Amino acid sequence: MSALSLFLLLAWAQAGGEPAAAADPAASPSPSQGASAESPDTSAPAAEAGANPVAAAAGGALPVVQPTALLAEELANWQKWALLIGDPIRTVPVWWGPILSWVKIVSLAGLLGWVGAWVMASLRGRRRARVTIGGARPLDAALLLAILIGIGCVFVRQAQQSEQLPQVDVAGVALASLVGMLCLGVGAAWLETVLWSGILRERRIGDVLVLVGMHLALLVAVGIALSMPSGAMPYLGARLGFPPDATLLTPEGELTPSGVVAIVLIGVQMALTLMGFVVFLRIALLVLGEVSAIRPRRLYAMGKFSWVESFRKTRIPWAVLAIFLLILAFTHWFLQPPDSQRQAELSRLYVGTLMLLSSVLLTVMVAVLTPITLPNDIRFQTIFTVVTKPVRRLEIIWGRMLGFMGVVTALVLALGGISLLYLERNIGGRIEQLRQEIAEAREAGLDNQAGLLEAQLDQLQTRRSARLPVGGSLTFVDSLGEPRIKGIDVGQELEIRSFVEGATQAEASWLFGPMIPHPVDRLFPNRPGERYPMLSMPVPVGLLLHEGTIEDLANDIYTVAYERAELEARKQGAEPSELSRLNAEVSRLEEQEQGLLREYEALVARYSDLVQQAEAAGDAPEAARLREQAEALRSPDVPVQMTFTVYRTTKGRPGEPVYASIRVVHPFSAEAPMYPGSRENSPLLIDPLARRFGGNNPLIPELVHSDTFDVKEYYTNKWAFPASMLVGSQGYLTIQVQCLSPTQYLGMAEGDLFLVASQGSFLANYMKGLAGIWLQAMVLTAIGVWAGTFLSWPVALLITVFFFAAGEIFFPILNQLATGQMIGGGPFESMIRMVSHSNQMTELDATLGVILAKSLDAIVVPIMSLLIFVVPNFSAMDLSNLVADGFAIQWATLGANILLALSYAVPFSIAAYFILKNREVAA
Amino acid sequence: MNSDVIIETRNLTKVYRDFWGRPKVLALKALDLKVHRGEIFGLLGPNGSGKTTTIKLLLGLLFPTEGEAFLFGEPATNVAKNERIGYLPEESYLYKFLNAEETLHFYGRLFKIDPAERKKRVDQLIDMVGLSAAKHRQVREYSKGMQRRIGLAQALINDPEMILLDEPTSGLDPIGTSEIKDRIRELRERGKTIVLSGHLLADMQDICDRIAILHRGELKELGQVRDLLTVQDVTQIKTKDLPPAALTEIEEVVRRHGAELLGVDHPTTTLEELFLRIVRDSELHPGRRRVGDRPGMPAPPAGEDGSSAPTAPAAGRAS
Repeated sequence: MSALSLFLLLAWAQAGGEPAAAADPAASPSPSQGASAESPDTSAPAAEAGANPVAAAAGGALPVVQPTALLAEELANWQKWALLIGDPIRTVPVWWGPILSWVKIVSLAGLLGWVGAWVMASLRGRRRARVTIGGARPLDAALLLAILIGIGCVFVRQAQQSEQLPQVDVAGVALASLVGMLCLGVGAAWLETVLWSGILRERRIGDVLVLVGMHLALLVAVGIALSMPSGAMPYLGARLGFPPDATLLTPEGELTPSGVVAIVLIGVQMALTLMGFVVFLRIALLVLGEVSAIRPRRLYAMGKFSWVESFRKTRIPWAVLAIFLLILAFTHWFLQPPDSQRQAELSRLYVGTLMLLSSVLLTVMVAVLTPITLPNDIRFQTIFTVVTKPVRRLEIIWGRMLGFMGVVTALVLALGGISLLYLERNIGGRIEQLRQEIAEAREAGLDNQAGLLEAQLDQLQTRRSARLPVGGSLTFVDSLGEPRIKGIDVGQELEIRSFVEGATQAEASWLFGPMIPHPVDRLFPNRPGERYPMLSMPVPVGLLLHEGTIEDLANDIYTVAYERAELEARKQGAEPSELSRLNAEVSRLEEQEQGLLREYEALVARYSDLVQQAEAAGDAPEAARLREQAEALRSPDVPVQMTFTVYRTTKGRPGEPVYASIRVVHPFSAEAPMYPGSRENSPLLIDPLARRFGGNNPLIPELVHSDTFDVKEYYTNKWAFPASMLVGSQGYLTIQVQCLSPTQYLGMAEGDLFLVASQGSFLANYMKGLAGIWLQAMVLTAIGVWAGTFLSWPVALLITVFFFAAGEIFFPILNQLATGQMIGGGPFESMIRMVSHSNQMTELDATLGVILAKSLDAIVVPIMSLLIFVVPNFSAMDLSNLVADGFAIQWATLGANILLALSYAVPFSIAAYFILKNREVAA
Repeated sequence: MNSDVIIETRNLTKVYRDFWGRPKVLALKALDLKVHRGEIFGLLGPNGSGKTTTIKLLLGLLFPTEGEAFLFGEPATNVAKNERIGYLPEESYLYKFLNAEETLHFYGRLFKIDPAERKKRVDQLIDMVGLSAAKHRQVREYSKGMQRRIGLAQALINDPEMILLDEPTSGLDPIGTSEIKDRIRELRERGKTIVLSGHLLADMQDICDRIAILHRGELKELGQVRDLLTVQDVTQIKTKDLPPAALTEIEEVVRRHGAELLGVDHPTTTLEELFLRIVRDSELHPGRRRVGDRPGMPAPPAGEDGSSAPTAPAAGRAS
């Protein structure tokens, strides 16, 4: 590895990349990677699975790399912490870990900006040199030479790795790497000289302190790196991406040259992080000082000004409104459901299209409006009369952002209001039409037709709601009864579902619970290696059992019983004083349990009485009223919704559906063990009241509830099971689905089956969806204003559009680049593959062109990988699919997205402030 | 710093550079000057002499390459000092989509002014600059003179202690110019410190107390207008009814003939002449001239401007 590529690798790693993931033993069994490789359903994009709110919430998390807290045993506690805090690759596994990771990224960006700004200032301010070589200063000439030689080293290393050049080692290290390191040293010397000379010339005390602090950070990092015990070297080498067979220690335990390199790398990596913290501190203090001087009246003045400017000068908001109305006028010509049987698609089409249209128009507006105004203000010098008033630069940036966001808010409300009216007119109108058609069909005695129409109506109404889905963890059983991670692959490339074979033992099983092992650990509990983190996918018993109902009371009895059982367990080996306290507590719980039981029996008796009265009532309305009263004492059945696909190997009979069976198993039952692959089939939970009720538990009438249904493709299949199945479950439950029709296959993904915890308002959900668009606009506004502070408007516009396109469309590719999962090499190698029609998997012949391309990739890819920490994940903020599919956007998801948006918008606005502050607006 | 000194520059230098950071233009070279409270100070110079650069450096719109600038004893880059400053740029760089009232309210909100007070000031200023009838029209519809007037109004919205006016009469007709000059005199009477730049010499001569003359970024002259315009090495005697025969022995003849001696004084030239002389001298002999080089100032060529040429031969300074 040459010094230059090493340097780039470090820079990449500092920003959170995962170098040489395949070679990192800590990375290879990564739970997140394992999960994505093993279970295709976690990001199922199709239909309802695609709108999996759990996945959306995950997408809305802060842009940090998940932790893998594998640490060598040889390290002292403080060394482990120093490594974790100093290492931006991993997030410290504590609650403040993500915040720290965000700080690290911002710090490193700040470090880059601070160094870059001072290098520029220093170069611009320096006087004529006394000694020159070919017109350049000797150190400048040396830097140029070092860069050229460094690039040459990358090329040589590539050629050596392709076995086109012989490997030449010096003291166990490749000569090219050593030369590259020398080049790196020249670069560091140049940087030191330039920074010191520039900062001392300007006599800026704060920046002198920062520079001193950075050198102290370097010393601390070097000290920590040198303190690492030699026993931890294999682990440290693995962290740095050294191949597993790299020899870092001699048999005597001494460091080899490669080991020394590893120690240096650890030190440099940590030093960069700590230096970033020093710069972050400086930035934070400056920004806090600036924020304390901000006055709302000035923010308001700037905001109002931007508002007026948007409407009067650019008139873009009016154009957006006009284009929206114009497109809407013709939308219904093009939006039609695929066929009359798939009315639900109509709702999805309309909602999705309207949200997409709103999003596109607002994005275009923001992308055009925000980067233009400030550059024009500077260009036409109108900014002179503003900055010569006591307005602070941060007030200009934030004030402008507030004004633009005011325009965005007004437009979001306007477009949202118009969209809702439009939806009401079209979808609401279709619903009314279906109701009339159903009534007419009933009157005409066409019950089949009426049933069909009712199903369509139901589908439409389902999509016009805000369902709160609760998902479980999916595993399969094959046709021979063996547990599997996945079902059958029917050979459809784009199909994200696994299939179960009809009329066999094959089944899909969803496990719910607050603490359940990962599917791999469930199916292979005794496998070697580290276990994946536990999953938390509980059934929301509190939400589904209505307060004061029979089932709720029964569950309360179990809650007390669990508490009592726990106390009983604690009595084993307790001290006498503790024992008496526990006994007293147990007695109190027993009394409480008895009281609840009496209350429960009274409620059951009242229920039976009401049912009997209803049966005895001659008057139908009276009977209905009594039944309603009785039902109010019960929790409603728990709704389950499913969207499955069918793969047919034979035609079957026309009109005959594919049948499936569904089974809900209570955790007290041993029929759905948590570890289906194990020999001991034990229930998930032990019934604490088993001894009291024996085999006849009145609180849970059945431990297994089964049914059969016909699968409707493209439909949301609805089913429900008694709420009593949740009593005492503590959130655990198993739902199993089998295909009953022979020669047919039922396809399903994890998000295809879920419990519906609640059904909220579509209107509120739609507004939350618009909030996602608003957040996108906020981030884009920050980027536009930032770009406008230092670029002319055409370039600023292009940069803003680039950021949006990269974040909305190309984010997955950036992710692949950053995680080293890009197949087929970087852009230059890919270009060769495209031109030569080579596929991505085969190794290219080591021609000169290929080596050159790989060398360029070795330089370019690490820099491109950094983009993932700068380019906002716009697609994560887009929640329109959830709205279109009728799923509720949870406040937690929205909150996570607000944090995500702020984590991008704030740094961009702060960067804009520093640029504007240090820019000569009259230059 | 003396509290009487409102502006002070020390070795203030500005070099404009190209994209690569190479020096392109030396716009201002080691400027040292002080402006005192309550005076009208004029910055004179031909185009490209560094007047506007000086003002921009004082306002923090540009950063000095070397040296320092202080306003009210604070560095020029300090935002807080702007509370006490009013600025009228060379062109009326105003937002064309706002009307006069909105413009003044927008700038007024940036100062710590009570809303009711702000409204009162806006009305007063619009009235003062004579735009009451056009206050609801957008600035884009204004003539250049109207734009200068609303520009002046925005510079006064905070009732500043010091006002920087960059070419305040540029593009105005004589009436407009006269109005602006009247306003400036009014402001001086109210104790304001005014710094203005320009090259309309007659206007500057009319209103400035002190001036600095810049040429290619260098300070060439600095002082009281009256002092600078005085021709120090020439004595002018004004007489009335003096017979032509008595010209050789003026004082004796005046006394002997019983004529009334009206005064013995130094004659003055016009600011315009002084200005042109300095500029030409600086171009002929770059770098030779320094501030205070008055004895070296050549006499104006006879007959070049009859009205200003001294009519008496040099006879030393009369008392």
